Parts: sequence; structure tokens; C-alpha cells
Amino acid sequence: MRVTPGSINIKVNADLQRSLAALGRQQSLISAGRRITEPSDDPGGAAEALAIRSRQAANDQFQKNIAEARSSLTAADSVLQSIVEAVTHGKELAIQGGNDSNDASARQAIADEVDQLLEALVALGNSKGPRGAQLFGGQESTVAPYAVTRDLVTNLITAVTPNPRGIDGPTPAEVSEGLTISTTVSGTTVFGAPADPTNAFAMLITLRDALRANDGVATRATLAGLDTALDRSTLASTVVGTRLSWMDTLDTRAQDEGLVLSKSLSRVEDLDYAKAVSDLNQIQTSYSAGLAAGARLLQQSLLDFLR
Amino acid sequence: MNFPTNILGSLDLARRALIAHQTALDTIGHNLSNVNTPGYTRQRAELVSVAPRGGVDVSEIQRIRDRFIDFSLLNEQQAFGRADAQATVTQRVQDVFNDPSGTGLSAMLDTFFQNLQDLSVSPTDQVARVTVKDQGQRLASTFNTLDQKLRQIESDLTVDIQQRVSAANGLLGDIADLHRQIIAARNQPAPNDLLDRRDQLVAQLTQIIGVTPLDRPDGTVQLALTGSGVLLVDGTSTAPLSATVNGATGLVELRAGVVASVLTPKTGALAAVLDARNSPTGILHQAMSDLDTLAHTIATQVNRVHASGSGLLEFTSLTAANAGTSAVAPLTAAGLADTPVSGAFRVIVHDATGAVVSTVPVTVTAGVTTLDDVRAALDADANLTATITSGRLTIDAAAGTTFTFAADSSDSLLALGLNTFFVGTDASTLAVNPVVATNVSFIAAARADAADLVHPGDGANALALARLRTQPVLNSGTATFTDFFGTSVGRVGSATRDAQDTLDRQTAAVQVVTGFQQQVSGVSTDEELIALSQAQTAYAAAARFVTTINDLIGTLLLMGTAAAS
Repeated sequence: MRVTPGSINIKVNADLQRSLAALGRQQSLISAGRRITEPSDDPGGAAEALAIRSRQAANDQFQKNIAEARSSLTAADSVLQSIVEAVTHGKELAIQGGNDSNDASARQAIADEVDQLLEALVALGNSKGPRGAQLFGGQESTVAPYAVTRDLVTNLITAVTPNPRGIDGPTPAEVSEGLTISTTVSGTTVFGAPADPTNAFAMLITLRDALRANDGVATRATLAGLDTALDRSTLASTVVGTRLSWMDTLDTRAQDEGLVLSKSLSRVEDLDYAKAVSDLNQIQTSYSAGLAAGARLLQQSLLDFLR
Repeated sequence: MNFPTNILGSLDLARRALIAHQTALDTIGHNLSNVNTPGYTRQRAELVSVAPRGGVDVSEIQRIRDRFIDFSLLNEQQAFGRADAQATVTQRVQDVFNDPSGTGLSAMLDTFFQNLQDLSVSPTDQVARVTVKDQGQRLASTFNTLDQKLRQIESDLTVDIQQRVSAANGLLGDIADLHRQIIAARNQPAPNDLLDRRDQLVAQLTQIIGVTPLDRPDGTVQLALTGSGVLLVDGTSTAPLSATVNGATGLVELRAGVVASVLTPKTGALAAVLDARNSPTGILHQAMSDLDTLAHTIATQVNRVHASGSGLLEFTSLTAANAGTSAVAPLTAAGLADTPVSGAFRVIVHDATGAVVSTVPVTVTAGVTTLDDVRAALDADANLTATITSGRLTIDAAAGTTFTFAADSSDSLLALGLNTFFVGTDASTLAVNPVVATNVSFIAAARADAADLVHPGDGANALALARLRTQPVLNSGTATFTDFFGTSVGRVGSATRDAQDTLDRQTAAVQVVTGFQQQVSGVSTDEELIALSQAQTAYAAAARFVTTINDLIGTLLLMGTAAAS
């Protein structure tokens, strides 16, 4: 084989170019800290990274929805405790007023207290959540769910009527893939249906009117209904409590999921520094060796020896 | 035996020897001077003895070249030209699609669905509504921008083709010129340096458009387009290339000379560039059609859900975004981008308090129901007035009432563009419906309930929209939006990678064969220096011979003088 300086030049040049290009590529990998800087670096990996990012975004959103649901449910929980307390107090007043040792004026005083309780219960029923939405209004989140009718003379509440457009519409939030949870409790669950005689508002009105009428028998008769109303609001409170603890579980799960996704993304995209640096050293060594060999080869010629 | 000889003949022999070695020395000097000249082929003075006993002569100055290696190199250079252009094009497309940083289209899509989730939880929140609208606009404009960038590549490719064609034409002309000079110089000593320049031009040409050379006895080459055999250069005549955009198909067509047929080069840069510019399955057009498919599917899917929902505000008057070509043709044949199917939808009229005034059910039968039938069905209700102006349906509600839509199973609302979120049918036209963009309260987060009432706190429709994220609606129901885009990005990525690998391979191949060529045709200084010493010695010897003959002549002349004196 005939070898000419030209052919050696081409080869030395090409080899050095190749090493230098590899060096440059390795350097940019290390400074970016990522294995994939453009799709051609790893087409499959690039598509996988997109899918993982999308799941991360969804997971972040689930956590946000959980926080949203939790803040609404926490508000409902504290209001529900007040409602349970109010109904419990109503029952205590019924027991107290049912005792026939009370005279008419004593029963009147108790009736006034029951009336205040009723006003408070209506206010509680019309409580708003942290974002200003009605807690017990269902999908009718902008209108107070309970309207009152008052006696024109005594100004006492004679009836409490729920929003005729419905207060039971579901208000779900997606808290995990395909899983929704209601962020509110409907007024019907807490206070009972309007037609139900054991409806908490109706029971308090009945109790108040019985006390005002100094009717011991009627007063005692409200006890059973008040028990049912109390059970109902206690149950609603328990349901909300259960949902809240479920939120905690889901939140933990979403956080774990977030960690898993970050790890997967890192596995797909991030650079293994130890390997990258050792690769860099290797390429550097071969580049230096190539330079040294090339330098020794190129400087020699017969001219050096012709005199 | 007696050999005839002549003393002046010996002097002539010496003269020939001096001239021959001088020529050899000149050739060595020429080689040494051109040691670094690209495309230079080393030359050798071929010495032959002159019979009988006539000394030496230079028979020819030979150009040391291996035509087989030359042709192999041309082949590799054609493939290199193609690979190089292919790598550039794919890299540009990839730069448009480069999304791994999470700031591109896929991130926009993720955020859009997140914002819809927020809206589903807080349907009355104006901020959540504005965010959904803004993100919808951002998503649409990302599509528009990507499409525009790809179209820019397409038009750049057209310019690129023109430029390469004119460069190739320049080379064709230069080659023909050189051929003219080569033919003129044919009877003089071989025009080696002209041949070198010609071969260099052919090498440049073949990188632009692959040609197969055929040597002619007169020193010229015939250049035929690789694959099709159309002659580009034949002796001194050329067939200049021309590239024109076909107005009907939008494709760039390459032709040579007066040949009417469209050429499809197989190798060289033009092959790659023309393919990228013209092929519907090439990386560029595939990327464009992927983007259009994704944009259209997003618009259709989002609109289908949105059209059956209700906003915080209901409409008093609404005009369809899309126009049909005919009011009396069936909706399925009225030139709408989306085709309605058989089904029904309801238009619900509410009074100022939100109570139901009337509900108008509209039934659509594919291939039968016309736009005018829909208009008539709506117009029949006392509270609604429906009209058609230049193919667009307009619905107006009676004073004090508003209307909304529900439960469209016929796709008519999305096809007509009534109560939709997006307008547009591809990546370049996608935009948020101006109705929604002007007033975000029209974003349909709610759905009319069983009693046709709409509640402000209802986020059911927004949730259904958000859930489109996980619906496999593309590739015959196997891919979500993100899957589809990921596949597209992966495809561009692997095409780019393939092109880069091919380029690397082809660069190496050209280097290897160029090395072979250098081994044969390159100047070796060592070799030339040895030849220089040889020629120098031979020249000195020939000079000594002249001196000797001169002495002999002197002796003869002295002999004559001696006789005379």
C-alpha cells in the first residue's frame, strides 16, 4: 500500500475531529446535567418523559383538588359540630321544658332560648365556605339555601324553606385518577328533607310553639323527633370526618406517587454523572493520545535527513 | 558486425537525455508544488528508450489515477450529499418539536386540563374561568406558532432547492467549458490539470445531485443522473436543471433541459431536500399533519363536551361560528369541517330567574336533516327566533328570556360552531371561540340537570372536559392527546437520529475512499524527493555525456588541425 502525507493527514484529521466531537458532546451532556437534550438523543425516552410529565401535572392537580376539597370539608366539619351542639341543646331544652314543674313564664323563657337557637341554626345552615360558596347549598352555591318566613306581628320564624332550585346537586372534585369526592354536604343530609316532620328546623319551630303554648305534652312529644334530627346531623358530621381522613390518605398517596414519578423522570432524563465523567476522561485520554501520535507523524519527512 | 554511428547523432542523444530528465525534474517540481492542492493528481513523466541506441525520451506525462476509486468516491459523495441535507432538514424539524424541557405544546396541554380541573371545583370563580380562557388561547397560539415554524421550513426548502439548482447549473456550465478546453488541448501534451479541475467540479456536482460519469475517448465525461439516466452533460452540451412550483399541487418539480418529465433524483442533496419538501410521508409533512390531526381532535373533543354544557350566563343571541355551504342540503353534506351524525340536542329557554320557560328538542338524522330544518325546529318555539344569514344560523331569545344547550348526541352543535370553546379545524386556524373569549361566563362548566335547570355551582361539564386528558381519542381510540404527541416527537427524534447516524457513516465512508484516492493519486514528498535525486543524477550523467562527446569532437577537430600544420 502506498501511503502519502495526504492520506495520513486525512486520517489524522478525521480521527481528531471524531474525538473532539465526542468530547464536545460529552461536555454539553455534563453541563446540561441531562441525558436527553433533544428528542434524537433518545427518541423513546423523550416520548416517555412527556408522558411522565403529563402524569406529574395530573398528580399535582389531584393534590391541589385534595387541598381544595379539604379546605371546604374542614369548614363544613366545624359548622357541622356547631349544628350538632345546637340540636343537642334544643333537645336539652325540650327535656327541661317538658317538665311540668315549669309554669307558663318559665316555658316562655325557654321558648325564647329555643327561638334564638332556631335563628342560629338557620344562620349555620346558610354558612359559606372558604371561597364564599354555600356549604350546604349543593350546586346552588351562590344562593343561601335556607329562606325563612316570619310572622308579621311577632317577627318569629314560622317556616324555613330550602331553595326551590334544589340544594342537593353534587359538587365533585377529582382527587385521584377517575375518583371524585363531594366537596360539600347537602342541606337535606344535615337538616332533613323539607317535608320530613323530623326536619331540624321544623322540630325547633314545633318545640318553640309548644313551649309558648305552655303545652307540656306537646313539648315532650318533640323529643323523639329531635333525637332523629340529632342522629341525622351527627351522621353528616361523621361522614365529613371520614371524608377528611380519606383526604389525608389520598394526599399521602398522591405525594408518594409524585416521588415515584420524579424518580422515573430522573431515570429517563437525568445524567449518570459518575459514568459521564469517567467517559469524559476516557475520551480525553484518547484525544490527547491521538494528538501526540499525530504530532510525531506529521513532523517527519525525508527533508529532515537530506543534506 | 558494424553498427552505424555518427558523432553528431551522439550529441543529439545527449540533448534528448537532457530534455527528458529536465521534463522529469519539472514534473517532480510540479508535483512538489501541488502537494497541498485539493483535487491535484500526481503526474509522472514516462521515460522510454529510443531505439536503436537513441537514448531516452518522455512518451507522456501520466496522470496517476484509479478510475474505479474515482467512481466509488463519486458514489460515496452522492450519498454523503443526501445524508448531509437530510440531517439538516430533520434537525430543523426537531428544533421545532423539541419539547423535553416541558415548556412546549405538551406542557401547554397539561396546564389546560389542570385549569379545567380548577374550574370544575370552583365553577363560579371568575379567575378560574379567565385562566381557562387564557390557557386555551396559549394552547391555540402554540399550535399556530409550531405550524408557522414548520411552514417556514417548507418555504425555506423551496428557496434551498432553487439555490442548489442554480449552483448545480453553474457547475454544469463550468464542466462544459472545461470540456471545450480539454478537446482543444487534446493534441498537445495531455491536459492533466484541466482534467483534475473537471473531476473536482464533478465531485462538487454529485454532492448536489447524484450523477454517474462515463469516460469518453476525447477526455470528456458524459454525466447522467444517477437512477434515471437523463444526461446532464454530454461533451460540451448541457441540460440545465430547473425547479418550479406546481401551482395545482404545491409541489416543487425538478426538470432537466427540454425534457418535460419530472425528475426524482435518488442521491445527492437535492434528493433529500426535494423529498422533504414534496413527500407527504416525509418528516416535515408528517410533522405538519400530526400537528393538524392533534389540533383538530382537541378542538372536536373539547367542543363536543362544551357544546352540551351551560355557562354562568346564558345566551340572548348566538350566531354559529361555522357556515354551511347550503341551508337546504343535509347537514352531513353542507361542507362543514365536522360531520354531524344522527342524534338530538335540546335548546332550553329560561326566564330571568332561571326557571324553565320551554325546552325545544331538535332531532337530527344524518343525510336528511338540513340547516333549514334545524332553524325551523327552533323557530317553531314561541320564545326563539332562528334565522340563517350567509350559511350561519343565528338564534335569538324573546325579551326577558335566555337560552342554553344540552345533551347533543348529534355533533350538530360542534359542527355548526354553536356554544363551542374552540374554533378552527387545524393547527394554523385553532383559536378560542370569540364568544367565550369576550365573556368567560360563557365557558360551559355546568350541565342542565334532569329538570333542565342550570346551577352556578355545577362543575360537571368542566370535569368532563378535564377528563378528556385521559381519553384515548386518537389513533383509532388507542392514544390520548399526550400519547399522540409523544409518538410524534419520538418519530421526529428517531428520524433525526437516523439521519445523523447515516451522515456519520457517510462522512466516514467518504474519508475512507478519499484516503484510498490519496494513496493512489496523492503526492508523497518522500517519493518525489527520491525521484528528484534520481533525476538529478540522471541529468548530471547526461551532462557528463555531453562533455565527453564534446571532448571527442574536440579531439577530432584537433586531429584535423594537427594534419594541416
